[in-house]
Amino acid sequence: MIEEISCFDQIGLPILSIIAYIPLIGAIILLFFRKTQENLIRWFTNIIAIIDFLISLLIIPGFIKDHHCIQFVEKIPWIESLGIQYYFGIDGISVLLILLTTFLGVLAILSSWTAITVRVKEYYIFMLLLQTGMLGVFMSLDFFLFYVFWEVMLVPMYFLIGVWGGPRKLYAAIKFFLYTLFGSVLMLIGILALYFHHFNATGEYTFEIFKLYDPAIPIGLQNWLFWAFFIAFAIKVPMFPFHTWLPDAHVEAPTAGSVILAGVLLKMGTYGFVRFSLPMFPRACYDFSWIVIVLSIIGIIYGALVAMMQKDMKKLVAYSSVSHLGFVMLGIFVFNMEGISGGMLQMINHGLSTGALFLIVGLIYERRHTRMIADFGGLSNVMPVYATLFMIVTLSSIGLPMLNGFIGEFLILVGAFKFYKIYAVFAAIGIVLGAAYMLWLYQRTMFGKCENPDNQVLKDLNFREVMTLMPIVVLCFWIGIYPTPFLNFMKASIAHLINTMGI
Amino acid sequence: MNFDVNLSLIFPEIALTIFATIIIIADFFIPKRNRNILAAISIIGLLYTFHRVGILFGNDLNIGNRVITFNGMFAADFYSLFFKMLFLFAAVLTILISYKYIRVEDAFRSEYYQLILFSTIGMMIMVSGADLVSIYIGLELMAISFYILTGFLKKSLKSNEASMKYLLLGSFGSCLILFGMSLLFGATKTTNLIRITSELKSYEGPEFILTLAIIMLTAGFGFKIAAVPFHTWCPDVYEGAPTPITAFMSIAPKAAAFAAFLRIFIAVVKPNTMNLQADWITLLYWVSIITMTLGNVVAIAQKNIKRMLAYSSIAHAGYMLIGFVAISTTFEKSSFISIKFFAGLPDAATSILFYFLVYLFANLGAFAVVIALGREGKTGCYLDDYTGLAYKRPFYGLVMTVFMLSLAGIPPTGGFVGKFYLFGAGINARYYLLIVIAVLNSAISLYYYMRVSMYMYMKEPMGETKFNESFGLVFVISLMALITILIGIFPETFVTLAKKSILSIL
Repeated sequence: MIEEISCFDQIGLPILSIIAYIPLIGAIILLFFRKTQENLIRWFTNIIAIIDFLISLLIIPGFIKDHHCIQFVEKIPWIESLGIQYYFGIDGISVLLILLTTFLGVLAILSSWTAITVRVKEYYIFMLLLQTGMLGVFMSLDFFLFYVFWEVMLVPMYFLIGVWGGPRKLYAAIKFFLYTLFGSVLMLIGILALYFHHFNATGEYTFEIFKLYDPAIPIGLQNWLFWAFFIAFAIKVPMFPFHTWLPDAHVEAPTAGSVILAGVLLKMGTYGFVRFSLPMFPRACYDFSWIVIVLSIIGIIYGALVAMMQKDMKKLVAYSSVSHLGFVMLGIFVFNMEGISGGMLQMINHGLSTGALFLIVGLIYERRHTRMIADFGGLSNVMPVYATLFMIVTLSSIGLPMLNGFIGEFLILVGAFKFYKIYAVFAAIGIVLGAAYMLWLYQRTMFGKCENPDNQVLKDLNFREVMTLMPIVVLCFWIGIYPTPFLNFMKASIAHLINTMGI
Repeated sequence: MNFDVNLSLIFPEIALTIFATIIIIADFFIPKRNRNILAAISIIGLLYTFHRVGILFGNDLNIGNRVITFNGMFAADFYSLFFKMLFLFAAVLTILISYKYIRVEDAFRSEYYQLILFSTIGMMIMVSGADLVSIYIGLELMAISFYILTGFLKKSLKSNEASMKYLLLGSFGSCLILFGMSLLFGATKTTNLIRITSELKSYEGPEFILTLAIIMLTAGFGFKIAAVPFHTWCPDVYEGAPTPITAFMSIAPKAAAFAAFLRIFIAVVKPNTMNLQADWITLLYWVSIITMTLGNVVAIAQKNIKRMLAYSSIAHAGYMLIGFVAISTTFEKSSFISIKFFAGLPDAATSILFYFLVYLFANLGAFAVVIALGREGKTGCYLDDYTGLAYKRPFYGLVMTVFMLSLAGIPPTGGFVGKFYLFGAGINARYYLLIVIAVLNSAISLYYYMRVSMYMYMKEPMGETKFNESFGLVFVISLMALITILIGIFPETFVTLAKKSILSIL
């Protein structure tokens, strides 16, 4: 049985609930604002997001790094007759993701200041609701609660894409919603089957995740459950061949929506694998790992090749996500310390660098209302600050040493090499391709002569815009130069995870 | 044979009949411009009856033989009381959303309220029927009232057509039920459900009589609950009937038919003679699959929101039939482990009852929004009427989205918990394939439910929309939205009610 430390022993207040519900309360207060007070709404939402982020930082000093126990636990019965609890808690697997969510939330909301000019009030309400939904997913340790947040979060995202999106927003919004829902309803069946299995085996009703960690699930059932969960998570990640909703959703979503989508939403899939699939169905995971890994490698190479051919910058970044998430999946499914910690770290890295890339594309789109690569060229002459930040983010994305991407990819490749050398060889091709499409993109948009008269008059970034990117750049360097603090957060939990799997 | 009468058990029905009669008489004395007084009297009558039913429900000593009267014809058990409260509540809400509507549509006649009350009495008798005969009497009282209510818009051709269709197909359905009942009577020599159960335990007659009886009953009740392939009347009637009546009809009579059907079903399959349970379940298994699939797929093509909700209600009937298929879970001990808290695994029959509750709130709310948009000449029935609604009236955009999410089964609304219980019961009974089909269906349904939100939020508002609001309407809409979310977050109380009710008929 896993140890738990109550939030009251650790910090004296239910900090996780506070973090999760501050945005919700903010959204409810926003309902009472007048529509025309647009600037007031913007200030208010930004402050809410920043407060939420600052409070989430309070987790760090109290967090116990050298033990895999569940911390800051809040546990009260909710629907007693079914054994459903309101159970929030975090461990090394989820803590960084929560910080990433509140962090990117601040930046995404800040970046919307001038980008969103219509229906401002509704926009910020949905952004805040989305924050609550995502935080809930990473904090819930009761299956029912987890599922509730997992689905709740789809609704605000649907509206964000559908109302403030691009020309094909209606199509993209419903595609996103339907795709993810199809996966998650199958997971619901898996959850129920697990629940009844546990009841029949032990006579106890519970949806508590750790009680359902039962390596003795018969192998036949394990296989079925593994696939039920796999489809849900793989659609979310998204893995090849379930990735087709992603480019549509990304291209149509407003910038902040893309940032959240790439930065946090996709991580729910990979988080799901680490939190549920690995410890609950270790046997099935091991047996089917070759399928998952092959799909990941196809995703890495296919995503990179398709990204190379894109004419639209945003679509290019979207496909690069498919490729990067392939790395994360590869890392997770080699089941060793290096691989899983690399995968976990790469989740954070991808959130940072791809989030930043979407912000960068958004900044230029806001100025020129086009994202076509062919429309640009020589921007480094007119927008030097922009070009510099873009360079750093590009290098972080392709995994240059000294920057964050390198650490994650390196660990994953070490893990894959230990597991089976051929996998590492194929995955390495993806890194080369990644460098190719990103640098080519940079070259075509930033270098050369600035010939288009529309581009010659572009203004460089203002203070607010620099501030949306600066924190990410700092973190990129930090993780790249000294990743130990970040790895220390997850070490104990991952070691315990590998231990439970017993492989 | 001594005659056993306990009037206190049937008191709510008597009270409501008196109120209905008062309305008939009061109609002569109240001037036409004060006709809202009739609505007020009806609401008072319904609330009083609700109160009386609530008293009976609160008395935990009312179990077993104490609740059966009129020589086994009438049972005021928790099961029936649960449904009675549901009908009365729905009737109150229907009147609240009606009084403005019938004035705008120029369809006011005092019979409108009388018939709503009489149909409610019919449904109350129907769910209390512990005997095939009393069930049938209640059924007819309900059905005839609804045939008239459907055609209440005298000047509208669609309403007339709907009424005629409903009358013809409804009577046909009633005939089939009657046929099934008579076969059951022939086989067991009794119409009393308790005695039918005990007779069936020692039944040694030919099997085909029973088989035929269950087929007829399934078909007959299939008409009443609009299960495929007996659903064809449903969209036309829903479209043609006055919208408040459609709202009422999509909930109360359906619940009544389900309640009576479930009572008969449990009485017949419990002894499990001659594989009757397996046979009937196989039949309903397929009916359930085609009902939900067809309902959802055809709903996608609808442009008229009343028709869309009609097909959605067909689909929901399909989901609820899962509760019949998985009935074995209800007979298991583990479903009712602790009597005190009514704790236990999700069981099929409880899930049906609970599902009706969440369906009532979401569906009535959705129809109320449709009424709010309606106006003379052109009703707010088409999807186009919803274009940009959320920016003209944010309130309607928000609540309609809540109702749609609930119908689609997305948390944190009641619809999700309802589906969770229902599908949980199905998994518990190990009908995996059925549940996979059901969840995929509910994913499909999301498309057309969310399309309403898409029209409201994602299209630019154009043109003028007139609203047809009244205090009662806004009150009902807000209440429904609130309860829909509350059930989604705190379902326990409602589940407990449902468990208590089911336990009383096992």
